Parts: sequence; C-alpha cells; structure tokens
Amino acid sequence: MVKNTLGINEALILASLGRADGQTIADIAKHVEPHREIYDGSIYVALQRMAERGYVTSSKARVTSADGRRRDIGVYQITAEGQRAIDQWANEAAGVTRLRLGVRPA
Amino acid sequence: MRDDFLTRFLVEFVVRATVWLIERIGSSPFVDDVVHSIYARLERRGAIVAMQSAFASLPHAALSRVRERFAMFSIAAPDALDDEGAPLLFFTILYVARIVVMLMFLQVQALYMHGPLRLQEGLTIAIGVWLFIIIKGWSRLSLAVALAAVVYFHSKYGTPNWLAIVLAVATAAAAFISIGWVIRELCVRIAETRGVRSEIAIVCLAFWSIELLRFWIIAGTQGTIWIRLLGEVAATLLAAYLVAWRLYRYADHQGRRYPELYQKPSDALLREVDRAQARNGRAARRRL
Repeated sequence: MVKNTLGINEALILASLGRADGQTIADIAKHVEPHREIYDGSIYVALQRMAERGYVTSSKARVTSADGRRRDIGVYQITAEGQRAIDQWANEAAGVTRLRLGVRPA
Repeated sequence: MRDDFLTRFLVEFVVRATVWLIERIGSSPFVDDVVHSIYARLERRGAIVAMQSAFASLPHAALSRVRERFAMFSIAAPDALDDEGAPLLFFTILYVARIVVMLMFLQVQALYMHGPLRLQEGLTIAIGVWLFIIIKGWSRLSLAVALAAVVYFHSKYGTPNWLAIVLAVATAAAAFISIGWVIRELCVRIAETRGVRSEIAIVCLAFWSIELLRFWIIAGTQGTIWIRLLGEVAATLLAAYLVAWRLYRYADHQGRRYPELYQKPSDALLREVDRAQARNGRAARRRL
C-alpha cells in the first residue's frame, strides 16, 4: 500500500490529471473549479510537491497567453505512482462515505 | 459587484497590475505557469475570479523566488509553499515589518517624548484588515466589530477616563470572540487542506493576545508615555519571540521532513482494519 499523504487540493489535481493526459495549470483549474475554489499559485505549489514525490511529471510547451505574450509553460502528466495514490485516496474517501451512511463494505 | 464596463475595466486593471507584481517577484517557471493560467481565467470566468487568483498567488510568487534564491529552501521548502505555509510566512514578514516600524517609533519618541503612535496603529489595523480579508463569514463580522471599536476609542478618547477603560474591556471581549472564530476557521481550513497543524492557531492566538494587551495598555494609560512605551516594547519582544519560535519550528520541520505532520495509520494497522472489515462482512453474510 502506498503511504498516502494527499491533501484535498492534491487529490483534486491528480483526479483532473487522470482524466486527460498532458494538462497545464489553466486546464487543471478549469476542471477543479466547479468542485472547489482553488488558485493558480496553490496548484503550482501542489504540482511541484507531487513531482518531488513522483506522482506527476512535467514537460515544457511554448504557448501564447491571452495577453498575447509567448510563454514556456509546464504540461503535467500523472505517473503510475500518482494513479495509485489517487486510487487509494478515493477508496479511503469512499470508506468514509460508507461509514457515514452506515453501509457495510462490499 | 456590478458587471458594467467601468467595473470590469477597473478589475482588469487590478488583475494586470497584480500580474505585473507577480512577474517582478516570482521565479520564472512560476510566473510563466501561473500568469498564463490567470489570463486564461480572465477570458473564461471573468475578471473577479482572475483577480482573486492573482491576489492569492502573490505570496506563492514571493516564496517561489525565495526558494529559487536560497539552496536551503530549495531542498526542503515545498511544503511551506502550500495554502497554510504562505500565510504563516506572511505573519512572519508582517511581524518583522512591525518590529522595524517599532524601532523607528522608539527613535522618534526618544526625540519628542510624546505623540500618538499613528503609523503603528495603522499597521496594526492593516494587519487586522488583512486577516479580515483571508477569513470568511461571521469571523469577519466579529473582527470588524473589534477593529471598529479600537478605531473609535482611539480617535475619540485620547485622555484617560473610565469610559476609555470600559471601551477597552468591550474591545477585548469583541476581540476574544473574534479569536475563537479565527482559530476555528483556520483549523477548519488546515484540516481541509493538509491535516492538523495546530501552530497556525497558536500563532493567531498569540498575535491577538499581544495586540489585545497592547490596546489595553494604551487605552488604560493614555498620556503615561513610559507605560505606553513599556507596553510597546513588551509587545514587540513577544512578537520577536514569536517570530523566532515560528522560524525555529519551521526549520525543525524541514529537518525532520515532516514525519509528525502525517500521522497516518501504519500499513500493519490498515491491514488489520481490512481483515476486521472482511470478518464483519462474512459475519453479516452468515447472519443473512
């Protein structure tokens, strides 16, 4: 079992990365926003932390921002280790929900 | 907020000004990633959300530069750059600023031996307003009441009298109520994001206790310059101690790589729980 130390922001970011490969912070913010208020600086920091744990990898891509300037931004992918961490997190969360609702484990 | 042209223009102006600030103080990878996303928000959801995100990203920008600049931070600081770490560092920065201002005032008071501490009061209120901004709901209201009371009696009752003392006690009560709310809100935020880290609550408690002590001393002894100075020095020493203590704890955490922050159950315990759940499941099926 992976030792799980994911916070809620990290879990949401990993869940977002699990849905589509190669996302920028803007993409992640767009996915997470409907579920939780999250800011770009926090996403960046969470991604750096998870990169150090081996949960995500990143590459660089040159894009044109809405202000017309070209920037080298990070494109992030979830790793197998990250996928295991988010799976475990989701299982634990489901366990909490089952317990709260009084449903016995399958 | 109204969604007219002028409002949008003003808010966009604030976003661009904040982004300009982020570009000046943040490290280059941080700036590229975050600014791109802020502009994407500006296009997608409107200016208000982009403005909130830009403001919230400012402390992270400063810390990204610190992390880039100092090897010590780059080795072990990533966890300090999260949602709770940034406000904590802000506390520290504000306290350092407070001490600098305090020293300036001591110089001025040594020259003139009297006069109101207006700039420092302004700084204190600015800190209060900053707390007011980061905290939500009823705690904002109680903080607002406390701050309003402080501003009121400071402006109206410059000389010592019983009413000033009554107002000081009322302010103290309001501030104590706000302490409860502040701690509760912060604990909820911490628990939501990273698990329990109680130091931030203690820092808040100490912060408000110091300010309360200071306000009480000033309100109760208006005109007695030496006691006021004594109160200021005591409050500043306490603040300095708090900063030192917080930095020590911070360094200690970095050194230990946070083992005590993540008090997760051990794998063996989790396996035991799994086995117990399986036994319960079998027993339930037998009963059925």
